[in-house]
Amino acid sequence: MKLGRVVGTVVTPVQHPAYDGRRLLAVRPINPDGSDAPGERMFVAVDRAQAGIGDRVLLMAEGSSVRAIVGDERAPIRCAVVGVIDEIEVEGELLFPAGAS
Amino acid sequence: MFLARVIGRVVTTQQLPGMLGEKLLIVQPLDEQRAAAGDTLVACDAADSGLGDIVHVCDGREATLALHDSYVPIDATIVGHVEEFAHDGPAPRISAGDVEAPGAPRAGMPGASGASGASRAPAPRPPRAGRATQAESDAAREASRRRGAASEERDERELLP
Repeated sequence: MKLGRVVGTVVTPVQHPAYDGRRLLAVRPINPDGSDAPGERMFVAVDRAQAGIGDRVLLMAEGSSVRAIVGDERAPIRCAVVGVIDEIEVEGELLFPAGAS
Repeated sequence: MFLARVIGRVVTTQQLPGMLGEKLLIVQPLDEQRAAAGDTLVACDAADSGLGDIVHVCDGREATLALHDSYVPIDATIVGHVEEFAHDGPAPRISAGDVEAPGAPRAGMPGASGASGASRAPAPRPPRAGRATQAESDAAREASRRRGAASEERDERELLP
């Protein structure tokens, strides 16, 4: 799983039927301190955690686990937001929400 | 899964039988500013996209699950056609007031559980139906109609090029 920040919502009127009724979020992978993770592209992920723009989230970007969460083993879905983060602590230092932007 | 813009197409005459009939497009991954991010790639098209469209691409093993035959050597498929992309960057396409509370179903997303996603601009509730005078309800209807028109106009502007 990756740490991410929700940067937007995505609306796709024409889409594969497996996405019907699913909310799509644009998620930017981040480092624990909140800075953008280098070399990572922005993900589009299915929202399973009721996340909103600006939230720090847990991003699952591995196909088969996501298909299990979604409940359809035949769905072409690879990424899902599976949690909204309340706190990030690294080596005893509270990085989030203390350093929240 | 990522956003990308369709920048070209690829035509192949010799290909594996499972890939026959699948349209191949060249896509450029995008970042949240809709600027190019990363290398272009070839993606199969399952959403009837065209040149210049902003699309939602699924990569990896799941890419083939959107195709007729899921045992084909394809690692990226266009699974959605992006109409609207709202973000919190320097050039927002919609105002903060238009962003729903976290968790609210996204208005305008087709198939978002029927009634909730059916209408992008829900008609305002008539003021105290039953007690309103005819003139009041006429005015409310007129305001509702105008608001609907304004909303459609806004939708037009939000459409991606």
